[in-house]
Amino acid sequence: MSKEKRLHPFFIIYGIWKLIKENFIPIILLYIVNAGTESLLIRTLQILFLIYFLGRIIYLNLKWITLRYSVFDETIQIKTGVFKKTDKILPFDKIQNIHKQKSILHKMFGCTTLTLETGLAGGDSSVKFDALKMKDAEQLERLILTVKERQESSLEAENEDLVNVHNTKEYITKGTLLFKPEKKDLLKASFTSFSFLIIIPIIFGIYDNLDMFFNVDDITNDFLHFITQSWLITSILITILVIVSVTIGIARTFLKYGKYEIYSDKDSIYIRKGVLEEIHFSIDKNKVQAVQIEQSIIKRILRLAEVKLVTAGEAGDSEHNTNSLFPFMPIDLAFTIIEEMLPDYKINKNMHRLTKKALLLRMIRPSYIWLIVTIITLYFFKNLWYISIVFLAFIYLNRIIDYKNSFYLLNGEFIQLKSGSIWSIFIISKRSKVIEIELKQSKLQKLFGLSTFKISNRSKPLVTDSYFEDAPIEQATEFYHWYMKRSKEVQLEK
Amino acid sequence: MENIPEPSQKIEQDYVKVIRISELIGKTIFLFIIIGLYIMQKIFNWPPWIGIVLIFLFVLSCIWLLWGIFVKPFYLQKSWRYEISEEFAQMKKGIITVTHQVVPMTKVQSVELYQGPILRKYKLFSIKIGTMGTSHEIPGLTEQEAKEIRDTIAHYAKIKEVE
Repeated sequence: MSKEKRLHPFFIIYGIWKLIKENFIPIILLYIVNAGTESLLIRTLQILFLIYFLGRIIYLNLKWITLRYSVFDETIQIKTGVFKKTDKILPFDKIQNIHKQKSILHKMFGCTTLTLETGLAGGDSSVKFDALKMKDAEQLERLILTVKERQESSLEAENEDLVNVHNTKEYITKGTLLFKPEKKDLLKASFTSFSFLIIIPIIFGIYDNLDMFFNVDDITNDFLHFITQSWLITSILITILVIVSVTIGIARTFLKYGKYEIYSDKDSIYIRKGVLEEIHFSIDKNKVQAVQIEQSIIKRILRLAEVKLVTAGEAGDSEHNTNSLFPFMPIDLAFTIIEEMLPDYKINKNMHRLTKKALLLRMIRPSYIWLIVTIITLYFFKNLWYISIVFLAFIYLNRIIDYKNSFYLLNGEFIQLKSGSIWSIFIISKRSKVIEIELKQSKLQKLFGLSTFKISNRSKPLVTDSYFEDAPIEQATEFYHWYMKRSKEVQLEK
Repeated sequence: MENIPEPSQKIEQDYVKVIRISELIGKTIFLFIIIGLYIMQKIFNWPPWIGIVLIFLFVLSCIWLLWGIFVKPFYLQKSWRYEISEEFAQMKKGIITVTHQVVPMTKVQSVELYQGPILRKYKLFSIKIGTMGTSHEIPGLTEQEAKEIRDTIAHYAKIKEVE
């Protein structure tokens, strides 16, 4: 269908931009701070760095020339390599997730990056195009989705007679809007994420960088002397600092999560986020192995939660956390959104608690970490003996919170587990998506008639294990028999 | 876990000796390392607390060694159970902590016959079952059993689920 194509030449500009970003500090140091220096060493470094930089740019050009892709009916072929040639053919139906990402620079040139993720393990599992014309990217994405849709519906058609085969899939935005954060949510978010604290690393960063050129310590000392002279100046300064940091924190949150939208259609979930830098990605609903809801203590107090989809396949871009739906979703909304998004998922909030026996067991279970910490403090820091008591209190508090937070339910083909103290995790998965189970019982647990069980789900990069500790043995038995009936839902390939 | 049916198959009696020898070798090496460190502590005048920790570790690993030679092999062999069916591979083991693992056949990705030097001495084999992210072992099998199990698993594992 198509001849060989190259990426947009913006690839080179983007590459240079990334290069500058990576080497920002050396560039400033060598060519701005030390401009016109007499020092032979610095002069040599300047020249060497220039050679390196030009080399990288030439390499970038060669990379652009050698990178060619061709789109066929159901596959895409990518040839790359300056020194080592590779030729990769990627069938569309193996593609699981598609991400698009636009920086401001991309927007200026009408380009986007496009990442095609496959579910295969290993380093070669995803293909990333750094600069594609928006039009080409959209066309490619539509083509892939159409091919996938066609194949899936032909699969379905074999099973059922009454299936409408629609070959043309409407483009992303036609899905229904599931979630869009309100201003209130974002404000809350900027506090839970402590993003206002970002000012601290910024100040340290500036300080550190300045330190290379001036003797900052002297200036700082004078400055500290000046501000501690009067209470008025100190308090004004602190107020300004607080206002600035809160503003930066809120601004950062709004930039990061401001234009956040989650769409959903029959097969996929689409997420678009970012104000300055736009990120699009989609998740194939069939590939969802489990859903996790994570809450820190602060999020629990503010009734917010992070919803994560556990999906199979290689992690595309851990930096952008592509399996997280939205880190600050109101908890009640989270449950309804999961059910709307994945209509076959049913969450039952009425879960079983742990029994009193479990609490008793947790109260008498020895803590080896505490023992070691205590021995170390008593031996080396005798005068800090209270650390041992504080630590013990902390451990017990943790155990009690975890006990209060532990819930369990088997609901038809679903399993729901929740546990954790400071950081609590709720997970719901289907029997057919649980790839392994384990039951465990220690002597102590046996005494109390309790046991621990574990479920494993496929995920990025390999497997996510979820444990449920100190469940009554009857529940563990029920869990075992529940899993043994797994074949009921599992469809086999022919 | 009394109400959970035990996997039906046991492993060979001779496996007791295999565990005993491998425990003996492993733990003795560990003991020698501790003794070596203790001598170094004396020679190089390391802080005295290191000596105390080492003596403590020495006593602990002596007990561990005795346990490993006289108690563990017997009970481990006795408690080991496995069962391979069309749908699942099940493995159960342990005395102090009992673990029971269930792996659906369709999730098995590789199966391997394994024989180390100690196993070879007693003409025994181990089977290693690899899944997506984990590896399970069924040790102490006769050659015939091991090959049968390997072939059975390979046969059932060929069937794949729609994911």
